[in-house]
Amino acid sequence: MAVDKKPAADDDAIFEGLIRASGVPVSDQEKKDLRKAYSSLMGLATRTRKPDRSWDVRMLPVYSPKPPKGS
Amino acid sequence: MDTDRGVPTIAEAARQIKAGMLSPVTLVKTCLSRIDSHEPTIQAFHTIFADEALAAAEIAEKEIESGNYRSPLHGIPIGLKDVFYLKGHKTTSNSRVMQNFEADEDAAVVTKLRDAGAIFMGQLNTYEFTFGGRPTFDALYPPARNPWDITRSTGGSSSGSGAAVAAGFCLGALGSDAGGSIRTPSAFCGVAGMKATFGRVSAYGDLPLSFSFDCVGPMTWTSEDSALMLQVLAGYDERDPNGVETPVPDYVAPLNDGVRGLKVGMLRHFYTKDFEAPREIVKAIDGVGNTLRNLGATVEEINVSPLIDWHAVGRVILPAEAYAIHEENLQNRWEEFGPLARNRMMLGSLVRAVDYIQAQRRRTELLEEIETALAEYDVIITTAMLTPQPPLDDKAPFPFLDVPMIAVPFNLTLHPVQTVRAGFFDDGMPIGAQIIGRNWDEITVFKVAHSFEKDAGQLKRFPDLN
Repeated sequence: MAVDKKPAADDDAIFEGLIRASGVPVSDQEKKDLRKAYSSLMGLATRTRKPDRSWDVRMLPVYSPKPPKGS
Repeated sequence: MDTDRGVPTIAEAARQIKAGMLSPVTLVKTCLSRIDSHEPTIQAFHTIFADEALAAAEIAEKEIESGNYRSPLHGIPIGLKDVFYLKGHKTTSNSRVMQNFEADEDAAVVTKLRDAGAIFMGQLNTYEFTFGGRPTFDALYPPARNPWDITRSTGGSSSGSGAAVAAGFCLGALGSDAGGSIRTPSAFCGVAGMKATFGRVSAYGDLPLSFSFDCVGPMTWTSEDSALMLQVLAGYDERDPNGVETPVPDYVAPLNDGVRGLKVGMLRHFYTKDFEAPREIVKAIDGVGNTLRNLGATVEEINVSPLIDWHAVGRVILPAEAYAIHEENLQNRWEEFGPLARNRMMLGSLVRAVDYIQAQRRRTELLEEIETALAEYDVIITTAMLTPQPPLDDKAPFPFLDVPMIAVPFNLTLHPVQTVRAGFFDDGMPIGAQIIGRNWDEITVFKVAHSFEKDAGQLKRFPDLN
């Protein structure tokens, strides 16, 4: 069976659901602007994924650099 | 173009104050006079502390006369971005949501400046809740204007800090930076600014934008002045969960050690290939490398992942964290937000957990790339801006989604960065460069910045406020 290659994340239904789930009232114009921005955002989110990435590439658990040696 | 800035640098003023040749009262009056004349146009401040500043200057003068000289910031007029807790005053972050908020204590950096004897001139303008992009006309206060051209953007979010230092309303200012909010206005306003190593300066009492990016730092006319301010601001604070307990070195003594023998990596593809910046920017940033080569450094071109990859990670993480911070207010007090800030933050509600985590994993890989480069090179140089300062009234709601954010890479990687004035566009607007160093090695960054500034002479031009 052929698989639809449309990125699942850039989807009207998901967008509507996320906006509704936020609980923040947005106007029609704001929603229109956000829908466009959502497409750009999901394009960027796609770039952060690498199909050949190893399991051991993890997110940083603590967002502070290590202290210098000897300190 | 004005040929006299009208106020001294912090270093010049400190030397004269210590020697009894300059009165802090006179210095504060000079700044207040400039504010009187030009603040109605520049709009750098939310609140001006004229009487309090004069009273504090009189106290400082008496202390110094009696031999109680506290630090090179004693008697120096400093501006505070309106995001820092300041006992006895509102802290608004330029939002109606915060217009009645008054902290019952000072931010950590405010305490440090106060203890060092700095004189607070007022609270400085910012973009609403420090979310960058474009200035907001729909927030609590109107936007600051760029002293080099009042029709152009100051950059943000430390917009008032950049404008006030460039205009000589104060000799230094506090800024904060989660995605370039110190470095972009520094570059756009032609001043120097330091985003220190993440964890070096306490962010306690700084109204947050992001959990994993927020940094606090100085904005000044010269990098020497940034070093003098960071000397006061740096240091572990157990109230900041991201703080790291490590000694603070002397940033000032090594400033004149020069750059001979240092290795400099030029990150050119960010501004020549990944984004084709105007020729003036390419010429100015390449010129920083040429100057450092002439001063004895080894300068070579380096390559990392394309700028869009760094931008992508930053643009997923930053709105998600900002939304998490402001979710409750967005849900319950949405009408008090300016529409621009509200929409920018709403982007974060559209980032799913898996998007956020994948971005954080990519961040790990990108961080390794810079660590690898900095194992070989003492500093990395790239531009601090990809375009000229846009018009002040540009109202595009999400400009940062389409034009890559040149400052974001080093929020992701946590490294210290100094912005310096690298040159000028043909129309006279300043161009800024970023100098990136190894974690905790602000000394080398300052040394390179100071060497460049002394040799290149770019700081001899001043905005004409008349």
